[in-house]
Amino acid sequence: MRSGFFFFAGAALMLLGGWVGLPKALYKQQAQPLDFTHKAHVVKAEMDCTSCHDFRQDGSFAGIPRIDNCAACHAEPVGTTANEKKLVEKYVTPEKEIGWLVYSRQPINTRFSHAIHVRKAELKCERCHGEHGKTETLRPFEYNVVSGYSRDIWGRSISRLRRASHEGMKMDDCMDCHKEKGAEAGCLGCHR
Amino acid sequence: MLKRRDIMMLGGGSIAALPLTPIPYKLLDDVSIWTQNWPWIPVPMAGAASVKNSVCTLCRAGCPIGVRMIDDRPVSVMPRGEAPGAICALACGSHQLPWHPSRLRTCLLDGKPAGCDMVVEAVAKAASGGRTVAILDERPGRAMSSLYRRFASALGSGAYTTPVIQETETLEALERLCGGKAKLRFDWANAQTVLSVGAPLLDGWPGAAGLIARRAKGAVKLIHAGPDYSRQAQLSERFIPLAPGSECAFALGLAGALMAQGAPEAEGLRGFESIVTRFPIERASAMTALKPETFNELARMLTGNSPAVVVGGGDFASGPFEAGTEELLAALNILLGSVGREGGIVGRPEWPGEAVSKRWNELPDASVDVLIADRTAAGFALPPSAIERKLAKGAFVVAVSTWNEGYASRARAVIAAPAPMEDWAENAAAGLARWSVAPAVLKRPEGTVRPDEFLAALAGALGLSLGEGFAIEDELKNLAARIHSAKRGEAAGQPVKEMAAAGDLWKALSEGAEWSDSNAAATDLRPRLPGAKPDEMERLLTVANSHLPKSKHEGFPLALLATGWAASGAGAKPPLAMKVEVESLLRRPAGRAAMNPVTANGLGLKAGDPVKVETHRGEQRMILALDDAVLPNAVEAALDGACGALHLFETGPDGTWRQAWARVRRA
Ligand code: SF4
Repeated sequence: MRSGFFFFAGAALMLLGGWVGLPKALYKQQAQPLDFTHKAHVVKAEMDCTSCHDFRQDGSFAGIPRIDNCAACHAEPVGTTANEKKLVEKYVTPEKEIGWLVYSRQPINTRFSHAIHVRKAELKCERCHGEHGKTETLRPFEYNVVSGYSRDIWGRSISRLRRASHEGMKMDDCMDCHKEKGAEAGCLGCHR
Repeated sequence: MLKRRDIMMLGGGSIAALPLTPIPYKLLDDVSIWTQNWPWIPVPMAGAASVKNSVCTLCRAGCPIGVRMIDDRPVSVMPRGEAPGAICALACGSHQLPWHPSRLRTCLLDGKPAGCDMVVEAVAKAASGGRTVAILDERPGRAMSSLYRRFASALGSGAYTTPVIQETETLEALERLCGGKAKLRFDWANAQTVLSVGAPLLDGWPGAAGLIARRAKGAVKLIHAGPDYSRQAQLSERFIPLAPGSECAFALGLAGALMAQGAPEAEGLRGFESIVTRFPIERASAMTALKPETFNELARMLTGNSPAVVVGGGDFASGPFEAGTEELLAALNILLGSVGREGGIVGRPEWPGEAVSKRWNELPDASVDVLIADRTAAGFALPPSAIERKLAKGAFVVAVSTWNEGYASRARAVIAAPAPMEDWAENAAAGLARWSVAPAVLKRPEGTVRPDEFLAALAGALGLSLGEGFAIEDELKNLAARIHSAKRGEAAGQPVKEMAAAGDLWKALSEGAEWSDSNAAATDLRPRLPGAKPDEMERLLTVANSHLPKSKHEGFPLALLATGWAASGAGAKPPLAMKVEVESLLRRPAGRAAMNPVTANGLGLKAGDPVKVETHRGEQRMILALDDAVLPNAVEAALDGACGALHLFETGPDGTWRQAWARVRRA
């Protein structure tokens, strides 16, 4: 009886450590250099994703907008918030790029063409980025202390049981979608 | 009170539960990623991404490419829209070539690093006093080729030469049979059947890229005849394996079968008939190791799905055919009624950059005192024996090369030329009216010297005047202006005649567009069949009879064939291409000798054995691969970027090295 108690206690401690302690120990948070409200841009300014995350003339994806893109509207502070003041004074006026921490940054051995996925396959941005475009503030960036990758690559849930299509950006997730759509890519289609 | 047993049970419970937690799986994943991201592994710096349109100049197929840049660094190469499918593994890694280990960053004199001025002084000293200087341009038809020609004519005693240009060999033989009145081209867009005799049309053959797409749609039937089961053979509907060196006999046998079906009216028919009569199908069958019915069946396939064309020219590794073989392959086109017919061989206008040049093998033996060999753009694999044959005793060889490979490593001096992407490069398929320009996307290292800079310095040292505008950019713009004033062809989807100024054409070209002119010239082509004169007849019969497979050299019982592809003449291959080659066996990696298992068994050899392949000229260590597709009693040597095994081949007086006799032993 006593032995059984200790056996189950050890198992329970391990389960607790694995499912609750591990994510806490593995992921560290880092604040974004500036807060940003996607909602204000989308709802108030009536912009859409491609207004800032646009495609260049050659069809390649420009990714995170550069500061001159922000400067087109924010050359002068728009509003009185401390955040707006910081944007103009610290970045727009000295023409300094904002060091955004990118939640969906893929490792360097991967290449991903937004042009093919958005324009050709007509996937919605939400398919991989969820409701990010509707958020009022930027959540803290979380990174894995061992691999250095963003938490969004593994997905929020440590079990990798996905509740929505945008949870997880590992190779398996890409392959699931490719299988579902019947799109062949081959190794060199995504890896360099 | 905790007992030892309680602690053991606690530990046991934890270990039993461990697989039910994410710990082992997650940590395994993270640790494996961590090992790929150690801080000492270099990471490319972030920067602004852009894509520069260009053209691949690594082989003469000239595929359109996009070079992806991060700031001013090329980071990858990808195919561009108009590329017929994709680019090859060689091009995928071409941006790595400037960092290749055998890349030269400084000129060499007698194997030691030297300044360009020291090399110029040494070459000028060797060339002074009316000694014979020859230039060997491996990629003729470029604007740089015109600068070489200008230099040779300023020199007076200079000869500008090129290797045999394989893709135009059959056409040139036909042009001669048409009395030299017209320039010709294959009408790849409309041909229904194509018989390639040794010619790798789907594997880097300039100008034939359209065939790949037509073949995929089933719009053209491809038949390949040759001694090796090459990529072309694999992609053709029918492969006809020929005994090594029997292409001429094959052509005569096929001519006999075509004539038996009723030949069209053509000048010289009677003389040709008498050649065919003296070389019956049975004889061709014995020499080629084909059944006599195969010739008749093939003749029916060609005439039953016309227009049909026959293409020779040889391949990039085993080199060209003798002139007689080409003449007979040209004659097959006349017998098929394909000359001057849509879908066959049609007339074409001359292109503004075209010039007649001497072939290297036309120079008298032992006549060249100073050789300037341009190896900056891979053109043709040439065995050292082909070069040495023409060199006088003590000749001074200076190679203009990016790599310390091939015969650049045997030269007295080497001019370290810029690597691909570091300088203007061009793709001009001589005689095919296609021209494209690859702009420099990378700064070249300081010690490198452009070929035009070297020629200008040499002219200065020799007191020659080369005239105004002796620089590659000027010459490229000149050529664009000449094309514009001729109002020929189109570039970037726009006819040149609609371009207001030559500058518009130049702009399109320098942004990666290809100029091409696919117009046919209305020409009255009246070809005559060869063999009308007795000496012509005897010459052709001698060529056909000279490759009896039984005439084996004593002690060297195997037919050695060089295999490779369009880029076999390239000085170096990027690591990615090597990896793909070695790991996928898409191409036989360099340094492999392949044999039929039956032949290998007879010699007591097995796959993977290190072997020594020996010929009268030398030996080469290779690893043995067994392949059912290799003909019995033959051994195939795969060439590497520096054409390694080619030193085993003897070059004949006609400039060919189709095969050598060899023996293979365990090393
Ligand atoms: S090496 Fe030749 S075949 Fe390959 S991409 Fe370049 S031009 Fe095309």
